[in-house]
Order: sequence, then structure tokens, then C-alpha cells
Amino acid sequence: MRALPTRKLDKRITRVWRLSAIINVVFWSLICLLPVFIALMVIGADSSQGDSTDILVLTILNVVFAILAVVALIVFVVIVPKIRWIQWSFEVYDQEIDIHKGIFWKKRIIIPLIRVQNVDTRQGPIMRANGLASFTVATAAGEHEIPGLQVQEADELRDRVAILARIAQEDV
Amino acid sequence: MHPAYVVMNAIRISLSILVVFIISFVSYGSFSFFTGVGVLGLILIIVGFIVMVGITAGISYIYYRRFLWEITESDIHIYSGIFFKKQVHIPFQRVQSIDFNAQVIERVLGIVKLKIETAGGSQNRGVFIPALKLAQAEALRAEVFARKRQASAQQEAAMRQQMLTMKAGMAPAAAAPAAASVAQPRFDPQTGQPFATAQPQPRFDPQTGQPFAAAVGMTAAASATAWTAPSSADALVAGVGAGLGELRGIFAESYQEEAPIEYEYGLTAKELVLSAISGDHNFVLVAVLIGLATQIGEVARLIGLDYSAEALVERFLTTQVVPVIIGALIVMFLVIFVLGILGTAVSYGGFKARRRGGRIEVERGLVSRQYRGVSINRIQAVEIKQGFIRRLMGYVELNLHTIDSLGTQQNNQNNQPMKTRGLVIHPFVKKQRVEEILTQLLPEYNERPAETELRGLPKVARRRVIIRHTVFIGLIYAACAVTLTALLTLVFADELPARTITWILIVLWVLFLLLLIGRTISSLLWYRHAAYTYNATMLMIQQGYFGLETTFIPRQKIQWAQNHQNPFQRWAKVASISAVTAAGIGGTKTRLRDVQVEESLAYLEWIRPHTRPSS
Repeated sequence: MRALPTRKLDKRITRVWRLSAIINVVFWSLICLLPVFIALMVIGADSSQGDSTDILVLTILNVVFAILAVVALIVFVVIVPKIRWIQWSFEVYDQEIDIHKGIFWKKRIIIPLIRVQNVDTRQGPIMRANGLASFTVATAAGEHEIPGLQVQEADELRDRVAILARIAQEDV
Repeated sequence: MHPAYVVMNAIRISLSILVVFIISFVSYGSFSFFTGVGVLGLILIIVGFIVMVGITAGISYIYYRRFLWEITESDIHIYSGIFFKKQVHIPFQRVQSIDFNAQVIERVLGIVKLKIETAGGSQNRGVFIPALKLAQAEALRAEVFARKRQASAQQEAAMRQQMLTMKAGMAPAAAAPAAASVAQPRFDPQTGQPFATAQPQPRFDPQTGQPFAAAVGMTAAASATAWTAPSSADALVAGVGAGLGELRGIFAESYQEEAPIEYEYGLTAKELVLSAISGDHNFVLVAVLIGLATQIGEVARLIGLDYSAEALVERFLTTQVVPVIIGALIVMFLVIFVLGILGTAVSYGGFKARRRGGRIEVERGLVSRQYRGVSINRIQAVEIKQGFIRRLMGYVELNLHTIDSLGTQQNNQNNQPMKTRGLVIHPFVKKQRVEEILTQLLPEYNERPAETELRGLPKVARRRVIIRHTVFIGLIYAACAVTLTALLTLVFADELPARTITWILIVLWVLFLLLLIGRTISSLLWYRHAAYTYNATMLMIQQGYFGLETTFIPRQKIQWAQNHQNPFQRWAKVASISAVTAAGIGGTKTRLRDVQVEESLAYLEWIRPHTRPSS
């Protein structure tokens, strides 16, 4: 049986993943924490209405959320990108693209080049800051992205796949 | 566009608004609506309705006036829209198929709705012309396909010319004007009328150099008659006459492509009736009916609680209300049941499927008639489908997975797609006949693997399907049932009669048992029949719980493939395999769970170009 593909993504993609994970975690923490903070402030300001149990419950809620946020930060920012990078590998052969990825749900994807309709390279702001680009192949049934590649590498890959896809022959 | 569009559209929109009105009035609880409005109110409503019809007719008229289409030398142009104007250009080369659809009114008037399907990668688009005379629509179709052939022949000729000139070392410039001069516009872009002097030039077969005799005849006929738009009154009279004269065979005089019909079949009356009765929705309906009949006590309880007065609950349970509700529900479901049967019979009445050249054509429908043609290379897979009842009877439904397109038109409210996914080429056929039909209709699929070659799944798949299909849902149901039991025995014990509570509990847990048994049986059935195989050219996947689906996917149509493992599957050393084709809109994934890992990797090897199965 054929071995797993060996080509890796650029290591810097973990930085991109980390940054977007941080943004996500901060966003959701704020959504969870802000209402509790506001409630605390309102109750604290009006001490005649404030019941000490209310404040206690809210504080506990606050602490729980904060702990969850820290855990999420550790898991999604420190651990997940690292494992994802370790798991991600791909290979471009003369006739097909072979992708292996996934942390819990592992996928091995084969895309015959003869089915490739168009190829793209794309770059978001975070990617650009890190000098990276992603490479996308589209078939008649959806797209596949290889995310973290050096810009030059992605461009070369795009051109190469475009040529290979053009000369790929039906073999059945 | 045909002027009858104005009338039809106005009627259709007004009717739907009317229905909404009535439903909303009734649902507001004013059952006295029909008796209590008085004469004046009734007049007001009728006047309002007429005004509404007038307004919609006006808008439809403007839309009709603004809707223009024409055929130019290279493409079809469609201009449409009142506020948001739109221009669509469809090059002939990209036209995949032209389908017709006719509702009752349209059939009487001899009018069809025309849909042009185009090829455009994963973003397929369909374009509608809402109303056209049938003859006109057929002429359009013949013309477009003729032009399409012509265009590809030209392209080929130009390429050959270019190669010749390149070989001879001459200037390639000679090729271009030669190719360009072949096509000339035949229709005045302003009026859509044919030029008086226009003669359809003969089209040459790239292989033999002979003109296409049939195509020339057809375009000549089209130019002579169908394209001139008759005045509205004429059209209406002629349309009604033709429609009444031949309500059934509105598509009888279909245009003749040069390819003859190679194979054709219909549906016998027996097949039609049985197919209507054996649909699984009927099975579901009956199940719901039984379920409702048994749970009626609970329903009554809920209704009672809505009024939140214990006395009322008591009265509900002791008086004759419950039997009446049960009776009404049973009658309602019977009506739905019969309607469902009628619906199937009507939509598949007059069913015909045929093979003609490189296309498969299907037309069907007793009341509203639709025609669909699909080119062989748009077919991505063949599916043999059985519901539970059909499986017991040994009958199947034959379905083709085709590349579909979204309809893009502005007044979308009544533009339902002609068929959302796939193309049914036989709704109800004996299993033994499948071989014969597929061999004749789709010789391209003759190399499909035999049922005997199917490979089953490893033992561990049985355990996994029972957990996935039975245990999970069982746990969720059990949790709900336990909660409900606790609530009933602890909280509502004083408020409801003890007998009612016992009754509800019995129903609750009997249903739970039934669910467990049913799910276990279907899981075991799944394990027994889930299987797959592939040979040099085709993948075959078979699976299903109570029903059974067998899918044949040619290797050439698989856009990409994957194997897929979750942690439990890794532990059990199995993986899911998927094949993704371009069928439907944006792709269709066919998946089989729990194949042995080594086998799933072998499958991926098979997908890779230039590898063959190891057999």
C-alpha cells in the first residue's frame, strides 16, 4: 500500500491558525463574559436591590467562563494548530493530488488531475503578513484548499498543476 | 414570449394570494367569516380581488412586453425585467438541454415553459422562457441544437484548416475568414422576424461532408411558420383548439432530431397503480396514522392543558370529543393518502422514456406535462432504488444522477425546478427487467459489476451500525421518556386521572420498545446488504436500512474520492469511503461506512489514474 504523502505545509501556517484561533476565542469569550460583567456592575451599583446570592452566582459564572476561555485558548491556540500541522500532508503527482489531513476525523483525499477545472492561489491579510498563500483546486464537484504555502511555492504549484491538468489523459 | 403568459401569470398569482387570504382568515379562528361578512363585505372582497387580478395582470403585461429573446449567429439573447433589467447571453456551445414543462392551463392553451440548461462547471445556471407556443419551443430547440452542431463542426473545421495551413507553412489567416463566413444572422434582431431572403445554409457533417438533411428541413420549416408571433387573439383561439383537440399528446409531434429512437418504453397501467400505492410516503402516513391513533390521549391532554382548567380537562376526557378528533384525523389522513396516490398517478401518467442518439428523453404527467432530455455525458451515475414496500414486492425505481442547474429568473415564486435531483427513468419496474432496460437504454453502463461480485463489510460494522442507528436514538428517546414519566407520576399525579397517566405511560414505553426493535432490525438489514465492489470502469455501492439503494458510478465520473476515519473507526480498523460526482448542483457524495481500512486504501489506489484493481 502506498505510504502517506510527505510534503508538508509551511510551518508558519501554524501562526496564521493561532492568530485566527485567538480572534475567535476572544470574540466568543467577550460574547459570553460581557453580559455577566454588565449584570454585576448594575447589581453592584444599586446595593439596595443587590442580593448577595445574586452577586455570588454571577461571580461564579464569571469565573467559570474565564476558566473555559483559558482552556479554549490553550486547546485551540497552543495544541490544535500544532497537531493539525503535523497531520497535514499532501503530494502532487503527475496524475493526481493526494491530501491527508484531520485531527479527529482523518481524511485521505484523491483528486485526479484530469478532473481539475481551475486552480487558484489566494491570500488573506493574515496570510500575507506571514508571506503565505493558499492553493486551491476546483473540480466540477467542489474545491480543495492546500492552505499554508510560501507565496512562490504556491504560485509554482498552481502553474505546475495547471499544466499537468491540461495534459492529463483519460486512462480508462 | 406568448401573450397568454399575461393571463396565466395573473391568474396564478391571484389564486395563490386568494388561498393565503382564506387560510389566514380561517386560522384566525373566524369560522364565521363566510357567513358573517354580509353582502356588502362579500362585494368588497370580490371587488378587491378583481382589482388585485388587474394589478397583477398589469405587472405581468409589462413583464411580457419587456421580455424579449432572439437568436443571433453565436448565441441566444434574453432580455427581461421591469425594475432590474437583465440580459442573458447563452452561447450555443454551452447549451446542454432544452426542457419543456406545461401545467394544466398551459396545456389547454398549447403553451410550454421552456428551460435552457447550460454547462458552466460547478455553477450551473438554467434560464427560463416562461411561456412559448409548443411549436415555437420545438422550433427553438431544433434551431439551437442545429446551431450547436454547426458551431462545433465549424470549430473542428477551423482547427483542421489551421493544422493544414500550419503544416503547409502557409499563413494561418486564411482559415479564420473562411470559418466566419459560414455563419450569417438569419433573424432580424429588432423584430425577431426571419429575413425574407434568408435561406438556411446546409450544414455539413464534419466526417462525411454531407449536409444534415433533417436539420435543414427543420430550420426551413421553423423559419417559415413558427417564429412569426401571431396576434394574441389568434394564438388564444388556435391554442385552445389545438389543446382541446389533443390534450394528451401535446408532445406527440416532437421534433425529429437526426438520430432515430433506439429504444423506448412506457408504463403499464398496472405498474402505474402499484407504483402509486407502494410509495414509502404512504407507509409513513399509515405509521403516523397508527401513532396518532394511539397517542390521542396525550393529544387530548395537551389540548386540555392549553385552557389550563382542570375541569375542562375532565370534560375533554369524559365527553365524546376524543373519538371525534380521532375520527376527523383518520378521515384527514385517508384523504391525504388517496391524494398522494392520485398525485403519483397523475405525475407519472403517460410516462415515456427513450434513447435517441446521445440523449435520453423522459416525458410524463397526465395533467401537467413535462419533457426532459439529458445528454449521456451529463449522467453521472445510475441508481436503483427501493423503498421498504417495493423491496418486499421485488420492484425498483430507476434513477439517473444528472448534473442539474439552478433556475435563474426573477419571478421565482412559481418557477419550481422541473426536477430537483436526478431523472427517474422508470418509477416502478420488476427487478428482473432492470438488466434489460439498462442494457438498451444506457449501453454505456453495460460493464457494470454484477451483484455476485459485491464485497460485504467486516463483522465490526454490525456492532457499529447498531450503536449508530439504534443505541444513540434509543438513549435520547429513553431520556425524554424517563423525564416525562417522572413529570407525570410526580408533578401531574394530582391533576390528571390515574387511568390517563397509566395509559400515557404504556403508550410511551410501548413506542420505545417498537423503536428499539425497528431500529435493530433495520440495522441488521443494513449490515447484511451494505456492500460495494468495483471493476476496471465502475464503482458499485449498495446500502440501505429498510429500503435499498444501489448506485453505479463510472470511474470517469468520479471528481474526487476520499476515505474518512473518526477515532472510533480508527479503533475498529475501518473507514468510510466516498465518491463525489458532479451530479446535482455542486456535487453529490456517495458514501459507504465501515469498509476495512486496507480495502479503503485499495479503493483510493483504484481512483488514482493509471492503476487497475489488483485482480
